[in-house]
Amino acid sequence: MDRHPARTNRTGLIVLGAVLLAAGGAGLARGAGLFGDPAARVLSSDVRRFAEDNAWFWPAIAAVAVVLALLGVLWLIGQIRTHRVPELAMEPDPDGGKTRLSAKAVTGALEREIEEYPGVRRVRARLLGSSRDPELHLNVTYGHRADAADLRRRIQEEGVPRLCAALERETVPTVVRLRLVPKDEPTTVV
Amino acid sequence: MTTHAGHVRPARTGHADRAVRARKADRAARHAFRSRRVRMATLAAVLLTAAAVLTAIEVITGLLDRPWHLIPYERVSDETWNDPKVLGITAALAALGLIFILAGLLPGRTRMVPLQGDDPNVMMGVNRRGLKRAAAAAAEDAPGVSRVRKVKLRRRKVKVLAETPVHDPAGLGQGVATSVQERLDRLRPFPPRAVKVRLRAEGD
Repeated sequence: MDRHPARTNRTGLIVLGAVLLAAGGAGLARGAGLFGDPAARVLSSDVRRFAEDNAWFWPAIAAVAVVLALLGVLWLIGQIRTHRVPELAMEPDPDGGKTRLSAKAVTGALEREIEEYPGVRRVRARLLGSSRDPELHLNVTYGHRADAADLRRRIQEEGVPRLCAALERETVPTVVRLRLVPKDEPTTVV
Repeated sequence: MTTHAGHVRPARTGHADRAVRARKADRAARHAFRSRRVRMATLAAVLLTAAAVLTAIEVITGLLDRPWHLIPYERVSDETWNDPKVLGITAALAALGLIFILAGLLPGRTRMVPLQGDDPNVMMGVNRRGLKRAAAAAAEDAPGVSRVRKVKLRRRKVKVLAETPVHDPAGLGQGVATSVQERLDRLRPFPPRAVKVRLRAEGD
């Protein structure tokens, strides 16, 4: 299952939240006088002296900041990156002639087929994952006149098996999102 | 039940087998449409990156004796810990941390309702609007209903509020509920939802 950034997001949010909560909580406790002197300055002379006495202090802070910035950027990139499969190897045997199939050709055919089903407005099919274990993601928007249950049955019994056949596989893990869009939504108006 | 010898194909999917498969399919569908927390994570990543970049610029330019001075830190650093400004900043940090932790721990909201299927390889979901519309359409088609006013979607319940031209709608609701339930049973949202119908006389 490709739920790509899900685990990273969960861990990242919890870790970052815990650090912020600990820092903020400690500051609040200090200000409330739970420990130390609440009337002491935030940057006490001890802290300043420590920074001046140790030459590594500021470079270390800079290094940590750079690492955190990189982590943040990687985390951001992780949100947008989808592992789309450009083409599929049809024959797993690397010695024999290689047949490569463009993923666009396969998904395009499936899109056109499902768009013919009654009431369907727009279809987007993508193959994600790896060439060996591709995963189909189908986004189908439909109008008020379509019957969702019927649509569901046809996608499952006609559309997906046809794609499996085209890829010469018994099954292809598929995630289908059926979306009803409001009546007479002006799709062309920008 | 023991005389399967004559069958050309062995019964691959027995009753228990099918139940296991269906359970697996339910779990897969539920898992596929769980929130990935993209929005909150994007916010956190942007904040983290911004704060780290500002700090890095501040410190590195300071080390090179050419401080850009992007952060007016001296406004805070010379204050005491119980200064309202400092307390405000620490409280904001703690609150933000709490929000991020909750966003990471709570399951989050998804706009897709998973659908039950028999095939663990095909995970289907329908948006809430689609499920509501299906219930409303079934109610509209039921005898004695002139208009559906509202459909409420709960985790295990669908509530339909409809109008009827009949003056005394007692007993009518049951039939409407049955047809809505039938429609839902075809779509099979997960978890399954019970249907409750309330009928009002027209113009009420």
